[in-house]
Amino acid sequence: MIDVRTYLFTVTYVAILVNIVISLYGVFVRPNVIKKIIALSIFGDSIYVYSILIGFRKAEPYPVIPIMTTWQPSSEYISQFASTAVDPVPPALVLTGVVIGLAVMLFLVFLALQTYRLFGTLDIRKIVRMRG
Amino acid sequence: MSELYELIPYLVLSITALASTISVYLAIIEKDLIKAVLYSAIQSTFYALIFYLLMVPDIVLVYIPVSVGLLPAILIIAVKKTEKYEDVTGISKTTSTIILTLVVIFTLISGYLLLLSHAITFAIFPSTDIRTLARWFLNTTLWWNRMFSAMSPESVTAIVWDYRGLDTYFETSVMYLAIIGALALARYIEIPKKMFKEEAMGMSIIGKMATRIMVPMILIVAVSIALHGHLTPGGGFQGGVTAAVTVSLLIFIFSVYFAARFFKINTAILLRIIGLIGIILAATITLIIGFLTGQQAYIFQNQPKVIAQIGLPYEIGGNLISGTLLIFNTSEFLAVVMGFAILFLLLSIPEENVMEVIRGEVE
Repeated sequence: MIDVRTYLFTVTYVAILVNIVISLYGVFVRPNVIKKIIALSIFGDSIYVYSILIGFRKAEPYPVIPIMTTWQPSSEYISQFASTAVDPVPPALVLTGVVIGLAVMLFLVFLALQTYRLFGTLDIRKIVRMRG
Repeated sequence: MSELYELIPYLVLSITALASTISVYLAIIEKDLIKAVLYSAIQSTFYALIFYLLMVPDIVLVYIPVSVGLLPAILIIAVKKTEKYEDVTGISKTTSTIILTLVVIFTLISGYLLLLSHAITFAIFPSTDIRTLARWFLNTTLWWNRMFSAMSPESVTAIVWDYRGLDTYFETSVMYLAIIGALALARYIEIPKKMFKEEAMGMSIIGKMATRIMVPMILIVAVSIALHGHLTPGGGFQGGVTAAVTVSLLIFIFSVYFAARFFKINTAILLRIIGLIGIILAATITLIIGFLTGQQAYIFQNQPKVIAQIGLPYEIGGNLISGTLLIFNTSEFLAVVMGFAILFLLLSIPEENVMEVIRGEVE
């Protein structure tokens, strides 16, 4: 007998996997550079969701956020906190990744705008044919 | 009945993931690029809900301003300056199918490896235990033995600056390099100094009045998120991107000339450098104190360690400040908001002025 929670969690996993497939299709096949940037940002976000999913845990009734609600904790509180909070390492990595991802996306948009100013088009097939 | 109640978060999680798949599909096949950007913003909203249900409020606070607020605004500016529609004539069906097949195979292999990394028993649902490293971080983040602790109840901020400070340092330098690259591409381009009528530009008076009320409130919330980063969900990155939303609001609702009154590009670069100096100071302040007093100290040290009995105070007058975490959050806030303000101002300069500069270089 499969647990309903496991089933619902698997649905989430597969849906995010399909998102990765569709966004990779956008990166490889669609000709417009701005569309490629949109697809690339969706791809990165799906990877972030995966990293967070790895840090999730099973706890009764539901896991808590990895932040203490008191600032003079007793040892019982700490052990209870450590046995119910989710993994704090993936959020710390994704946190910086989101902001740096935005800066890199902005740089890509600048490159795309410069390409449009010099070539007059953003269709990657026409840009390749022009040879600088 | 109580079991059904416990199922609700997982149910919402799976429905949200399926809805995000629909919006991703619509965003990729849409030919109108403005609509594609909006569909991708809807997808980001669903992802934010997923992050919330997975119990990571730090990511929600940084993800909503970045992916729902800032990135669609940037892409809409870029689409307005370039082509509005995507030309998809001439993509042959066979090429499309071959690439799609390769992508599906690649993704299935990587997904299978991900499953393997999760558990040998193929149980996708995570176990009750987490890794030893994470348990160590959770146990020591606020502990009255200062030799091992970061003295902050917020374990994510403690990892970002104290436990794994070197990672954050180099990631900040990646962001610095991206902004320097964009500045190099936009060299010699300046915001034109021309007389303009404020009433004649931008949106209606209702939108302008609402923005005048909203902007100070957003700034207060952003500063509050940044300064309480070591106590509650938040920190320098989250507060910085929240404050950067105000720059995009000023540009969209009023005009770039109006926004340039508050954010001069050179002043923004100066404030950003001050923020970066603050980050370097937060990394080396213990080392400097150690040099001055002749004791042993390390770079990126926050609280005293066994062989380096020196550290910053974790509280001042009964208020928890967690040593260098407060300095880091303030400096990172300044660096992030000013970096994005520079990029926004450069991005929204009218295209005629940019073309003049480029033609002048070519001739």
